[in-house]
Amino acid sequence: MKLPNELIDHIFSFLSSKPSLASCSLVCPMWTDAAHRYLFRKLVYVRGKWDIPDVPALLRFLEDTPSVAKHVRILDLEGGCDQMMSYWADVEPDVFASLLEALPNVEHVIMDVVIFSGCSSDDEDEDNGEDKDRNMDTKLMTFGGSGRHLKSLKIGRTSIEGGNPFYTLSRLLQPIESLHTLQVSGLSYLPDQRSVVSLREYCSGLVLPSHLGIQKFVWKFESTVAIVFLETLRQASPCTLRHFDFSYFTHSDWENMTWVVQDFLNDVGAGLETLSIALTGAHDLSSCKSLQTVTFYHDTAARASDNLPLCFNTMLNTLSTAPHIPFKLSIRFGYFYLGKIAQHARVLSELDWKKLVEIVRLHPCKEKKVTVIFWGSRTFSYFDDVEQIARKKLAGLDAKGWLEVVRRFS
Amino acid sequence: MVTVVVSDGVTFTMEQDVAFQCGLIADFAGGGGDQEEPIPIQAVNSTVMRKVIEYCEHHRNDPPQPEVPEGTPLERKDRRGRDAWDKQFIQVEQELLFEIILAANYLNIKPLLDLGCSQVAEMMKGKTPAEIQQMFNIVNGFTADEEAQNGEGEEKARNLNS
Repeated sequence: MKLPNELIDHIFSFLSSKPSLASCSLVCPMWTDAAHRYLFRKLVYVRGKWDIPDVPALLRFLEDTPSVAKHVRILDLEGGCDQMMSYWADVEPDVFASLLEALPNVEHVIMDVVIFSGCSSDDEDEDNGEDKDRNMDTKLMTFGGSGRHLKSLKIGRTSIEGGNPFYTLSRLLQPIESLHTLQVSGLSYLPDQRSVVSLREYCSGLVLPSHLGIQKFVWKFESTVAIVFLETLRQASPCTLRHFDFSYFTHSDWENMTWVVQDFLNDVGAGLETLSIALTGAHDLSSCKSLQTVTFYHDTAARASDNLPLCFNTMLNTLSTAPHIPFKLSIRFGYFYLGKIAQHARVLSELDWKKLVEIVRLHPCKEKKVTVIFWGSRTFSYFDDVEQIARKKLAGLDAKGWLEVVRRFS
Repeated sequence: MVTVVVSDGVTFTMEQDVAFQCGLIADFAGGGGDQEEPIPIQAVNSTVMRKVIEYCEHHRNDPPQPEVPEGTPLERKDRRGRDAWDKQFIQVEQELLFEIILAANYLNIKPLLDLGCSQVAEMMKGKTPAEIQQMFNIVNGFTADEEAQNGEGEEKARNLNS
């Protein structure tokens, strides 16, 4: 083959199949490194799934094979589906620090269901609780410091065993120099019956360092936690924020959420280019002058309020404040449980579909998508675009007609 | 109009919007007016230049392609921008395919470069190392030790990737 190395590399960038890339790496010595660059770009370690039994063994493997380690850009650590495997309690944060150091070019870290050990062998003789905390603090900071050149961190259900996950996140973030994207979801399992007051106390440990310069933030969490977080985020003066996904679950503090979100949008909305948001009340998006793409999630809000017609009107009112979105508009609403189809059909027949079609049709943005979500053992999406509503004459359907539609998914 | 002269002495005259899809020609011409002197394109012969012009004429009205950021999932990158005409256009002999890729790289025509490279990638899919060596006439240059090492590390590392 008479192509120079740079073009061979470009050819490999079009190969998504791992076996094909592995084959290419074994064709000739000149191809090996270029193929490895794509083959090992993402390293996924699911605890208990592979014949590498634990993180120290993974670390040894990476240290023994620097030719693999140097190509890893994305590190994905997952606790696994098995409940027993979900805990990494035998692993301390400084082991993860060594792992990051063994991957000199890693830019994106994903951690899901990672519960660090709450104590170490060094701590065993320690009776002093404060010293123990300080020791763990140092280890967490070491972990964050090893990832100081990260571009993105996606973190879910991760904490110190028995500790506060928000405190853990704060400590991990502090030594990182800058971060383009931070995605936080289900930071840790919260007790079901936690009161609003204790939740506020629980997540008050979250401090978002202002030096990070975050441009993209994704937050999927319960609403009270979301409120506290938004207050923290406002204090961090996120003038760099361009992309904001705040499609939280709304189980409590539902009305208060609308005001807090509006305050936040008033503060940072002018710089936002993409916004994904679960509407708990009507918002004024007129200050968000740079918005290119908007997704309204009505499913979670409707689920919490159990008042879809109200949510529907909320969405229409919000939409009417944002006629300036030039590119993409996406609306998701519904979240109908298939077990109550007659009730869903009645609610659907009460919605002002004609008004929705009219507003969305008149909206000048280029891509428009309206989706109704039906949720059961699987999630079904209905409608690809707003024109289908008109074509299928759904706007004029009564409860009986909607029952036929809903039954298709049951 | 823009005129170029290629390595075997043949000259081609193109309209500006066709010629300027080649970054090299656009840079050479400085972006304005008709070019009086033919632009020398020494690295491309007339057979390949005909194919390049055919491609540029077909895509003359295309909107500019957005830059694909590094880190774009390969599956998405793989699927973008290949219409039926492109697929037909790039079904050529292997030798010519490589020459088109080299010409696209030299002339700085990113969409044509991507089309050619994705076609080569397509040819490699599902093939064993030996089949790829045979298809592209590549000599296996691994030593016996390297062959053994390849076998050991690959499977463990592939597990971590799947």
